[in-house]
Amino acid sequence: MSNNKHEDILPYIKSITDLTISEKMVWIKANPTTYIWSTKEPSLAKIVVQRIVNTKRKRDETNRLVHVVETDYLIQVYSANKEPLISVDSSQNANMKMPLSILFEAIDGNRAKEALSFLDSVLPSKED
Amino acid sequence: MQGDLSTILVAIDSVETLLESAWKSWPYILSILISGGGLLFSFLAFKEAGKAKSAAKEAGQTVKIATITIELSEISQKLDKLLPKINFNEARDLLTEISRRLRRLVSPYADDEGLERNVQALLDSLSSARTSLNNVKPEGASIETDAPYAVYYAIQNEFSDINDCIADLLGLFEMKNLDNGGHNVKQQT
Repeated sequence: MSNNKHEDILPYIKSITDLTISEKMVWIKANPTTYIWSTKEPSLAKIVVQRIVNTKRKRDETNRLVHVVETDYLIQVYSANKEPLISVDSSQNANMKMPLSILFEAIDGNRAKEALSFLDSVLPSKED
Repeated sequence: MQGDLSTILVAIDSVETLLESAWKSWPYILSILISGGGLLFSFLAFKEAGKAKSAAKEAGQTVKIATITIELSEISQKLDKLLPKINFNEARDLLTEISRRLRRLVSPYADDEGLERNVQALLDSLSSARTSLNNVKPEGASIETDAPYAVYYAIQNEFSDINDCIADLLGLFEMKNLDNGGHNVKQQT
């Protein structure tokens, strides 16, 4: 699996975030922490964004081992051959954490907004 | 009446004379010595049985710890072989199996002074792994193969942490076994 260490992808992440906020990219929820966007045009492609919550063991100030919860993000771009062309993991590239967390929150927020607007559309209005 | 009393006194006197002569007789002294010797040997046998019992107990514990270390090594090797394309069901089955086996192995040592912390760390890691796995429980219309590495990325750190805890416990159990062996040697010499 390739892990793009260059930050060339940063403008693309920003662009994906903007397209998500403007609802031009609609994401499918694969599981509670993974979203997928796919397209068939101009060619088969898929983007997977995942939030990874890890519990790591670290030593505290008294040298005792304690569990610390850390959140990281992962973005992967797939072509038709089902192997990721781009894979960026914020646990290995700390600079990516903030832009990826913004993207994930945008996707998650849009999904929540969609769900609420659906609920709003099916509920009878108070005036009836 | 007086005649009866004197007869009784004469009888007592003759019994006393008989006992006095018995104390000084060799067969009586010999029987006392044999009884005393028997008592001494019984006491020594009792002490030896106690030692044998504790030695057997320690030997049993050594065998048990050896079995635990073998099983822990097996589980550790299984965790090493985590495949990147593992799906949710496979990961759930693997976690259920190792969780059950590990709990069975370490729970008797949950209050052991030297292992208490490491056992707790392992139990915490298992619990974290379960939470991480629940974070990737498939839902909605999407099929799992759409995000083929999602489960792996979600659990790899947690499984690696479980493996670290197992390695720590393996080291401690091995040391415990060495201590037991040393103790046995000490007792035997």
